[in-house]
Parts: sequence; C-alpha cells; structure tokens
Amino acid sequence: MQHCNLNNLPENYAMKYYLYHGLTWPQVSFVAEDHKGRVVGYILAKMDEEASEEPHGHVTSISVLRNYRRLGLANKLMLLSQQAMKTTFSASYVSLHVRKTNRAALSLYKDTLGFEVVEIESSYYADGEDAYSMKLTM
Amino acid sequence: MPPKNVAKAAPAKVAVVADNRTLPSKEAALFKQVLQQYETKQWKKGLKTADTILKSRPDHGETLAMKGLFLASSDRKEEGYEFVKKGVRQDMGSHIVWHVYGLMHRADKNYEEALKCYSQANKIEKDSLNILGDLAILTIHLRHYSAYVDARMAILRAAPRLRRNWLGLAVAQHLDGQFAEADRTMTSYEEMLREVPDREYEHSEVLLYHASILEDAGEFEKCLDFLGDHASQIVDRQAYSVLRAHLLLKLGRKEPAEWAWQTLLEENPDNYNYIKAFVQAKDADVDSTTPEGKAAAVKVLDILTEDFPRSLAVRRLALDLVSGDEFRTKASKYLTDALSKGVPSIFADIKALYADHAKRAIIGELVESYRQSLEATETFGIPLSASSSEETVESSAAYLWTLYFLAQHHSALSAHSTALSLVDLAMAHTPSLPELSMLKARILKRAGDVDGALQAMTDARLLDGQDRFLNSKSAKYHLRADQVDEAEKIVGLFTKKDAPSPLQDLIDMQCLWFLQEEGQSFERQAKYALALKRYHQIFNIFTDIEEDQYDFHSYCLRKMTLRAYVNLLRYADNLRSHPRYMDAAKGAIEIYLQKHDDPSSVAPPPLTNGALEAAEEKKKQDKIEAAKAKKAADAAKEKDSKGKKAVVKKVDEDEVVPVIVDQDPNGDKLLATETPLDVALTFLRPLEKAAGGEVGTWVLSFEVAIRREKYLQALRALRSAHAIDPTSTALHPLIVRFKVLVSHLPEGTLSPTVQTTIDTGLVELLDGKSLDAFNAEVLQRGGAACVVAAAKGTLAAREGAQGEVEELLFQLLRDEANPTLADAVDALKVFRSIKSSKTDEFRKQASQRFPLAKAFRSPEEIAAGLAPRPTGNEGKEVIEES
Repeated sequence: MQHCNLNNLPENYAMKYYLYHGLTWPQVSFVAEDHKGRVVGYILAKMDEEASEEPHGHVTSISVLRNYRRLGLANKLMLLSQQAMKTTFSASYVSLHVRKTNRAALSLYKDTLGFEVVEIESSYYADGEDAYSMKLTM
Repeated sequence: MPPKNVAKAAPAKVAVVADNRTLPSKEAALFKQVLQQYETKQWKKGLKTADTILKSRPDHGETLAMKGLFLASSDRKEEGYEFVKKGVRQDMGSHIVWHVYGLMHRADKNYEEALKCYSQANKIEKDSLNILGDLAILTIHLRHYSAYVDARMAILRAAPRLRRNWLGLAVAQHLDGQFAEADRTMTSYEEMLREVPDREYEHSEVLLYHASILEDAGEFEKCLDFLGDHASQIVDRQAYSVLRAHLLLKLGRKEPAEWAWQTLLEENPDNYNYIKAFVQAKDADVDSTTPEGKAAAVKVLDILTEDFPRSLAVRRLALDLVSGDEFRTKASKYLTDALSKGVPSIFADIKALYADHAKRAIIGELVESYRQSLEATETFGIPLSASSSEETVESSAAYLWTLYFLAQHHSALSAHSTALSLVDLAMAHTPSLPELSMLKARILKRAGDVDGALQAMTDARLLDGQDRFLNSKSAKYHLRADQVDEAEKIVGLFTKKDAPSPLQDLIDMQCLWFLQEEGQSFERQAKYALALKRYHQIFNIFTDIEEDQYDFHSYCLRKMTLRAYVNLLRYADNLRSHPRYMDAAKGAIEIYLQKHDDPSSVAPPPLTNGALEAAEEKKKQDKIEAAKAKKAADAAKEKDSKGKKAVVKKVDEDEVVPVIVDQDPNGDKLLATETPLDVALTFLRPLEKAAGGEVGTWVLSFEVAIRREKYLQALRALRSAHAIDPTSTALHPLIVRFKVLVSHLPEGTLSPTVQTTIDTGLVELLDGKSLDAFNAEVLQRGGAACVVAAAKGTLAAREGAQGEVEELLFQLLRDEANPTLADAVDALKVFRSIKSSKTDEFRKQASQRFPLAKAFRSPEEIAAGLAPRPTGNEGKEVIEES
C-alpha cells in the first residue's frame, strides 16, 4: 500500500501510520492486487477517533496505479469500505478531503459515489492547495 | 565456678542486605523525590537531588543508577551508562538498579540486553506490575513465547480484575501453541463479563479472536458452534461470514459451504479466494492439472459467469483452464470487451497466459485480426449473433488500444522493431497520450536501449506534469541511465518543499524503490561507497518497520483488536521476505564480497589534481557544517532551557532533542570496514530466516560461507538451494566450484567427519556424476541459461579451459539457443572476467543480435551519441510455429 501511495500521490505516510489504521479498524481498508499479488490500488480508511453520537468513517487515502485504471477499482474499493463502515461500526456517513483541482477524483466521488461538498478548507494540503471536504450519508 | 554462659544463638540473619541500600530518613525522603522527579521528567532537578544524596552516601547503588538515568535523558548517554553500571555493581540485589539498567537498554533498542536486566529485576521483585509489564512486552517482542506466557500469567495473578490481563494471557498461550489453554482462558474471560451491550465492537473482536484460536487448533466443529452461539454479538459480518464459509468447507459440508461462499461472492465477485473456495465447494479445483479436472472447474466458473456477469476475475480464471477452440471463444470475448472499453492493463493481465505458447499464438492472431478489421470497417470483425452479420461499430479509441496491445505483444516476443512501429502508428493516431510514450520507453528498455528509453519516458512525463506516477517512472529511467542528479531533481517536483532535500524526504517517507534504484546505479558507476550507503538506508528502514510493532504489543491489547495483532506479529516475522530487502541485501553483500576478495577493486578511483583539491575543499566544508550543526544543537539546548523557564507547565521541563548529524553521508566509512564479511552476515542472516524459499538467498549464503571458510554452512546453502530447485542454473556453477574448492584444501583442514559429510553431500548434489559429466548434462538441457551455466561450470572445473568456454559462449548467440538480453549480458561478463582476447568479438556479435542494447555498444559508439538503429531483422523473432 505504501509503495502504491508513494507512486501516485504527494501525501505520504510512514509505515507506522498504515499499521495504526490496520490495527485499529482492520475492517475498512482494502487493496486490489494483480495476479502476482502486488498492490495496484487501495483504500486506507478509518473511523473518526472522537467518540460521538453519530459514528462516521473517514477516507485517509485512496488511489489506483495509473496503468490499472478504467477497471472500476476505485469504485469497488470505496463501496467495500463503506459497507464495512456501516455494518461493523454503524457509521451514518463517510467523509473525505480532495484537492480542488483533482477533477478525476472529484468526478468519482461526486458523480459515481454520490458524495456532496460540505465546505472548502483552504490550504489543507502541505503545498497550500485548498481541499473540498466531502460527505456521503449512508 | 559459675557455668559458662551458653552463647546466645544469634538470630539467624535471613538475607544480608547490602550495607549501602537502606538510607537514613532524610536521604530516604530525598530518594522518594528522586523517583517522583523521574516520573515527571524533571531531569535537572532529579540530578540535583540525586547528587545531594550521593554527597553523604556516595556508594548508594540505587541513587547512582537513577543519576545515570537522568544523565542519559539529558543527552549525556555515555556518562549515564557509567553511573548506572556503577549503581549495579554497588547493589546487585536491588531490583531498582536492574530496572533502571533495563530502561536504559530499552530506550536504545537493545532489547536482548534489556530483557536480561528486566529478568534480573523480576527475579528479585516478583510481583511488581511495573516490571512485569515491561518484561512481558520485551519477551513477545523478542518472540520468547513461553517466557511471555509466564510473564502474562504473573501479571494476571497480580491483577485478575483487569480485563485485558486475561486477554494478554490468552494471546500468549495462543502464540506458544497452547491452544487448549488459550481456549480455556478465553472462555473464563467471557464468563466473567456480566453485561456486554449487544454489538459492541471490542467484544466482537474478542469473540472473533477466540474463534480464530479454535480454528488454529483445528477444532473446526467447535469453532462453527462457537460462531453460531455468538452470532448476534459479532459486528464484523464479513469476517464472520468468511470464517464460517471456510469452516464449512473444511468440514466437508459442501452444500452449506456453497451457499455461504455464494453469499460472499454477491458482495465481492472479484475476490479470487472466494471464487476458488466456491469451486471447491462444488467439488472441483481451479488449480487442477488434469484435463478432466480443468473441465470440471470451468463448468463451475461458467455458472458463476452467469450469476456475476460483471466479474472479470471469474472469466479470467477460466482462461487459465480452457484451451483450443473454447479458449479462442472465451479469450475473444474477454479481449474485445477490454479493448472496447479502453482498459490499459489488459495486456499485463493476459500476459501470464503466454507461458503457454499455443495460447500466446491464438491471442496474437486474434488481436491482429481485430486490428485489421478495425482498420477496414471500424468493427472487431465479430458478428453479434450467429444469424446476422451485423457488428458493433467501435469507437476509434478501440483501434488505439488494439495497437497498444499489439505493440506490447510483440515486445514480449522480443520483436522490438515491430513493437516500435506499432507504437509509432498509435502515436500518429493519438499524439498526446502519455501511455504511448511510456510504452515506447518500456519497449526500448527491454531492448537494452537505456538512453532511448529515458528520452521516451521524459516525453511521457512532460505530457502530464501533474501525475506523480509518470514522475516516478521518469525518475526511475533516469536512474537506469545513471543520471542520479537529474533523477533527484525530478522526484523533487513532488517531495515536501520543507524537507532538507528531495532525497531526504524520500528516505523519511521510506521510499524503498528509489533508494534501491539509486544504489544499483551507483554500483554500475563503481561508486561503491554511495551504493552501500543506500543499501544500508534500506536496511535501516526495514529495522524501523520491524520496530514499529513495539507499541502495538500494548496498544492492541487495549483496543482488543487481537486478530489483527496476531497478523501483525506474523507480518513482522516475514518482513524481510520483501523483494526490496532481498535486492538491497544482495547488492550490499556482493559489494562486501568484492571488498573481501580484492579491496582495491572497490576503492574509489584516485583523484586527479583538480578533483583532489575539490575533495579537500569538500572535506573542509563538511567539517564546518558539522561544527555549525553542533553549535546549533547546543544553542537549541540553551534556548530550550532558557525559554522553558517562562512556560507555566512543569512537565517536560528539560526535554532535549539531540540534533542527529550523519557522520557518514557518503558511505565512505561503510566501505572502509575492516570486516566486510561480518557486515555481509548482518544482511544475510535475516534473509535466510525470512526468504529461505528463494534460491538467490542460498547463492549469497554460499558465497559468504566459503570466504568465511565455513564449509558445512556452504554445503547447507547448496543443499537448501537444491531442495528448492534442483535444475537452477544459478546453482550449477556453485556446485562445481565447491567441489573444486574442497578438493584443493590442504590436508587436515577438515576434520574426518566434516570431510565425509561434505563428500557425501557433493555426490548427491552432483547426482553421482563427474564434473565433466555434470557440466555436459546441463548443457544438454538446452536453452541459453543452461549454456551460460555450463560455461561457468567448465571454467571452474578445469584449468586452461578458456578456449572451450569461449566456444560455448559464442554458441549462445546462435538462433537455437534463443538467448535473452540478460543471458547475453551474463555471457559478456564471463568474457570480461577471464580477460578473454575474444571479448570484443563477442560484444560485436551480440550487438548485431541486440542492436538496440547499450550494453553491447562500444565506448566510442556511446560517446559519439550514435542512436541505435533497429535493422528490422535483429535475430529471429521468438514466435514459434503454432
């Protein structure tokens, strides 16, 4: 997962952070593999850490290798994760952040998966770019 | 005379308490303060208090130890250790001094040493939960399973009301293989709980963990019942369903299993494990090797295809199993669907089938026919149904992707010029698609044209500067062309702006591929110190990742995610089977071996005058930098202690973060080691443990062992490799070399038993043959790799066999041998290693066969920047008549 992430996105994490996800909410993260078992796509997700009335999930990171696109993998990964959030944790909604200029991802979240923009968080990313904060009620 | 007084028996002294442990009341109170000051991290105050005690009691072991602890926490580690050791010497019977010593070692990650200290402390003070807690974690971190059980047992006895102590014991028993005991502990735990709210996550995890213990114990029936009994409390429905389905299958309950797997497939029909299990439930086997077995499996897969038409996995699995006309039909549908949709990865997906040459040929034919049909009529040439001749008109993108597929197909067959002309055709059709330039780059790479490949990949990257994937590929191709500075600049477009350098950011983010590629590039450039530096950096990353598990030993117990925890331990145990670790270990070990064999061959080239001055200048600069950094660190310390006085909070008053300056940024110290074989071992041993199933591991193991003159270890390495793959061409020359080596050892080097063991072992490995027969046999097997192996073997077997070896290697370039580029490069290496006079002749001939390959071009050609021109008939294409 870490390798896939480093190849695709500028937001990267140390291994311990991946382990933290996998050892706290193992049910909600998924990978897509090629026939040799190499990770070509992933979704890294968690449940919101603050205890609240309405448990909700959060997508930390999702991406698919460029040469494995057009297979609907991002869609499949997202749906599997959502399903798990709902069933295991009774999540009522999922949230995520996406770069304002990332048209491909925006289209996936908005058009294919039904996410809605809640607000704009300015300078959310390390390089200063704004993010859309999006939410999907389940 | 009065009777002598009977000597009063002195009251028997139980234990002799060290004279210097008990303190008078004033000092005792101060010592209590010392302990408190440690808890609240007030190092400076603690140091003062400790010194006060020591003024009147300079030999008080426990205070000496605490003083050491304070010193170490204030970045005066060496002094700290001295005082702790003094303290231990003064009062070995005190659990405090051993506890402190253990803390020191643990902070420095010397876990073995820490464990010894904690064990001592625990012997003295058996019931201290403080000590036991740390001890337990150390035992499991070091995988001392039964010691872990003991520790957990003691903890539970001391504090039986804490829920997680029960779980801790169960986990320990489980890991130690005491399944029945673990089961009982879990049951006691579950019975202890009164009201657990329904659907509570933690309890659900606990139950699933209990189930997993039963499964590991082979108690499938019991496990199934357990799941049934607790179904309403388990919230992770997927885990529940999967486990249940597994158990049903294992218990042979075919129909319920089928139903269970079907339900799972409805959620995710692209999961190969689900599909395989379903087929198994229907009494078939997707891994079958018989025609009947395959047909049975296909029948089931066909049913699944109907139920789940959108699942690609099912249909792809079927392609593995069918052949002939059925294959043609199924493959055609699979391919046209993908090409119509424009799926870039379709070739990567299909390529695995190419090992079967019949299938490879069919696919080639099919896609070529699509291409022609699309060119003529914009259709695939496949009627929609048997009755009509109507066909779907495809978008022009379908044509593009068909060309794309064909180009990859021909590249896989090493028909590089055909592949390239197809890519050119595609580019004319759709000029600005990065995929096409990427493909061109890949084709040129496979043909050995490293520079041309770089050019094409750069074109791709420039077409979409926002894409990190293209950026990474581009950087990799720069590294393959040995342009390290360029590569670093390019990745810098995506690394953190506030990092000291792009490279440093990649190291911090544990970017293994880049470090590996750079290391290999440095090796090619004979910059061995820098190469070693990279390989060590990779080694350290793996150490860090292994280290990451430490906190989770207690975290997972708190969160009760116990299945995930056990998986974590197994992951950590297997960590270094990762290909990146293997690559780094191989690179490092090979350099150290070379250093051992001939130190001058790895020394940096002597500097010319200008370069010498530049190097001196750089040394000066480095010294200034280092001094500056130290000054900054000291100043920071100063600032901290000054600044913190203004802060209201008393906690963390004196915490100091030492600035770490890399003492060996270019790896020169690494390369200068006097004990290269020892360092090689540190890379090798984890490899043997985690990657013992790879022939490559044992090749390295052999090379290290013979240089260390550990002949039994060498034999073991050869045997291990042989057990994995007796036909391995990498193994063959090693066996020959070992035989020769052993027969030339002076009398008495080996004890009689060892000699016998080795002799017997060799007879087995050589299959009872003589060296000549052994070499002849591998040659007989045919194929380029075997030719090279035979050549290396002959070289090792006989003095003066040079001419014969050269003959053999020239044979490699004939059509019948069908050499790959890698084989030819390997052969050239052999020529160079024997300093053959025919080296250039071989190179020239190889160059004719592989005209695009940089490896065979002369230095003059490369310098002149002559672009290689594919002749269109480089060698014969590797397509066989079908």
